[in-house]
Amino acid sequence: MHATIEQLLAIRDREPVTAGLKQHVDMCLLCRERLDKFVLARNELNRLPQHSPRRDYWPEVLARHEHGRQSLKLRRNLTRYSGFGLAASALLASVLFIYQTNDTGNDKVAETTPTVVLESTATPVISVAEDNGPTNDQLGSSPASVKPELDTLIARSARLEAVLHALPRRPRVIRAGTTDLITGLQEGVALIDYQLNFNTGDQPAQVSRQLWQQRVDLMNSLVNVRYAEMQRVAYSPN
Amino acid sequence: MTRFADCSVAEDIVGRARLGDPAANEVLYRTYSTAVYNLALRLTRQRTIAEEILQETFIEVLTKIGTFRGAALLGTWIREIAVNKCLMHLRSGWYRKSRPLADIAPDHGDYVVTATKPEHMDLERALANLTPISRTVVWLHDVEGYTHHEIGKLMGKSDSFSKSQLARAHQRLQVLLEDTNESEQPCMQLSNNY
Repeated sequence: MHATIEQLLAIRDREPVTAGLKQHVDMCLLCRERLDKFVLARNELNRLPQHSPRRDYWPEVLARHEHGRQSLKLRRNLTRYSGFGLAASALLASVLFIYQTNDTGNDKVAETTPTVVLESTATPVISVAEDNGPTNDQLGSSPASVKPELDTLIARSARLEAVLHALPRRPRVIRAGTTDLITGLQEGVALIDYQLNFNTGDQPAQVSRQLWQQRVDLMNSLVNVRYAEMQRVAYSPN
Repeated sequence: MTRFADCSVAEDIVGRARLGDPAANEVLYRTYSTAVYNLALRLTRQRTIAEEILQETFIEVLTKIGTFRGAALLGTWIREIAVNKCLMHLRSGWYRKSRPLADIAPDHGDYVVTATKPEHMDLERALANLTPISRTVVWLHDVEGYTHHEIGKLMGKSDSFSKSQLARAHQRLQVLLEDTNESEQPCMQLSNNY
């Protein structure tokens, strides 16, 4: 029975083998020949020509090593400062939460009908018809006779203006119809303002009163539309 | 000096390299780069991969030289890093995907035989016809002097695995070399770009 390749390689590499195997290989020409081939193969492997890299890679090694060091330093810094980052995130989240809470509070304020609007809607004295129209006496009377009512209209207009400004900003998602209505009302107010400014001195008191009355009505409508718009946002499921 | 066994550097160079002295680092590179490159070229048979492994090996050497305690020879330590890089490449999904039969079929790579002696040319050709695993085992055992236990450990296998791989590889080499002697082989591409 001849030695296996593993056994011959073990003998070649001076690994422990049985005495019987060693004796057989010493005596067997075939095994001896095969063993010699394995020895020769190992010697030839060790004598194979050596090669050099195609060029000098030392600059690349240095550059990449330096880059790696910088990256490692950066990662360590990131790890070190990640605590600060977390704290800053938590702070930002708190601020946003408080801001959101306050914003919701404003919405709640808007949900209550403004006093001025209530006053305006509950007492339709603002409308021109409710004033029963100008009488001949009134038309012929002096401006002093209509001044208290005109003052009242001006004051009411100013209060509606203030309420309008106090309302929260319009929602980001708006209806085109509502926007058209609001734009129309604002244009109406602007037109009345133009007329009031244009005929400051010489227009009759009655005309001024009518203009102011119309302004109050338009402002009232504007506030109501804006208020309705806020209500829709407040009651939306989102 | 192109084999790990033939390379050595003075103790003070190693000490300076440990402290990060660039000049000492360069001495290490100049001393061991050819040995690392040859090992990588023999195992991977691809010059580009061998050059990449050469760079990666020395990047790791420079990074970890501070932890080298001198329990082993510096050459042994560098060789271990290089061998691990080569095995990582051979085990990588990228390599295995590009060569689905890598375990059972030879991988000739882009390595061009440049031996001048006929017997060396035959041996180079025979080596190229081994599977990457068999070639690695043969090279590590017969040239680099690794034991079966060390090879088994490197590959995550047993000593027997290494022994059987070596036996199979030598059997294949003998067959290939005998075939070469018996039949006329086509001309080998010679390259002078090394």
